[in-house]
Amino acid sequence: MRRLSSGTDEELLGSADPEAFGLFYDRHVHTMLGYFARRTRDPEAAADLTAETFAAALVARRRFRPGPVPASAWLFGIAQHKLADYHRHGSAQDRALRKLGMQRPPVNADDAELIASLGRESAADMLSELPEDQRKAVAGHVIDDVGYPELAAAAGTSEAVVRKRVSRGLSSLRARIGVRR
Amino acid sequence: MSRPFVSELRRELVDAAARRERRRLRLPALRLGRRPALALAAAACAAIALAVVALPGGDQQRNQTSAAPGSETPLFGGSLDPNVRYATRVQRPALSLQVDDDGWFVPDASEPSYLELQRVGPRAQSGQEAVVGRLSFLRPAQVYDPNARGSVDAALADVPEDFLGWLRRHPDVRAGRPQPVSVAGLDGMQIDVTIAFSRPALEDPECRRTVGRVCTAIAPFMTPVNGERARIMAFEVDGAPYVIGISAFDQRGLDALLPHAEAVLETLRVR
Repeated sequence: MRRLSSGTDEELLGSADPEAFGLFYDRHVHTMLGYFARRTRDPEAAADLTAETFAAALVARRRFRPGPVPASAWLFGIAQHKLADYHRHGSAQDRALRKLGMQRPPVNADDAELIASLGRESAADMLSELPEDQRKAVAGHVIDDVGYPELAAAAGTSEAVVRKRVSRGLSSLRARIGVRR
Repeated sequence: MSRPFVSELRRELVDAAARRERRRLRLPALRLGRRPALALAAAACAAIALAVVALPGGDQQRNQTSAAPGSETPLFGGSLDPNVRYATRVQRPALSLQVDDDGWFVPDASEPSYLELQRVGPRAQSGQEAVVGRLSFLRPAQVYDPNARGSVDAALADVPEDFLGWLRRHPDVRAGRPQPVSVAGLDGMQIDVTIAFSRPALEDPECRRTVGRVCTAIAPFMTPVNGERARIMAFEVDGAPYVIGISAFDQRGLDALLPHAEAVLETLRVR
């Protein structure tokens, strides 16, 4: 097991040992929960989406080929699709879970608290890496849901500049988590 | 008390991985005919299933997953399904469209002035689909003055009334002759352009940071890389310029993209 645990994400995904997928999960589950918690603001939905994303990754892992794009970016690609499906349907889909004959485990009060805090932490961590003007614009518009005109007035600049800051900030964040341009 | 969600989900996933591995190892034996009766039964079931799908009732059932004719599905982003008419939620002007196949992806549908449909190619070595081109819809509010010095923020200028004429004069753009074009009942002009620079007139620093390439800053949401080919169509909608772009990284990519993008534009409605 020592050899497995020191393997790269790509090696873990390619391994036939079921425990290897468990280790891959260990490395990314908190990031995934935080990502979905931040986007849905709903711990139950974040748990649904995380379970469905890892189930889809398990189903598709034989198709993953190591290359210049890291496995974490591949996982985020799946997550992005699941999130889009969630917004489109108004709820998380469970196609991959059903394919595997799995049910999403229940979320108790402690779990919900943990998931919510992961969302807050990862948002703060990621935003802290942005330049100040972009951080304020992204935090204001995406997290606090403030409109562009209000943000522009507060920053003493034009609405177009704020839009650009938000767009650039989000581009930077996407790039950091490995999502396509 | 139930086990924590994180560890319980892990246990379920590892169990599922073990089940899949066991099943994978068993499959060759079945295919080799150790249990021919079972294999034949499976083949017969598959044939029956195909026959059911081929029957009129089968078609009807399959279509239930698509949007009903005439209805529109709100566009939230992600992969787009063919035969579904998507309606934008926040874009101005509002758009509705259908795609021709399952090779289109929308990364973000929440920006009012910009919508991008990415054309994704076959899975790359990495297993991730690659973006090979874009069909984009832009309401340009401002442009970057290529003669300005300093930061891109300082170069922001009002969008010119004749956007296409301004674009043709941009130092990093090689443009063909303007041609009339009509899309979704809108009459406008189009030009084919090549982005060409050794050093951009005004570099978008964000581009270098995020995709590791040098981009020229033409307008917000319009920051192409050197060599990019595009067909740019400009219209006037509600008294302001409105731009539709079809772009790829080279001419071959653009040639491959154009039929798909035009198929989408044939379904476009602008409100």
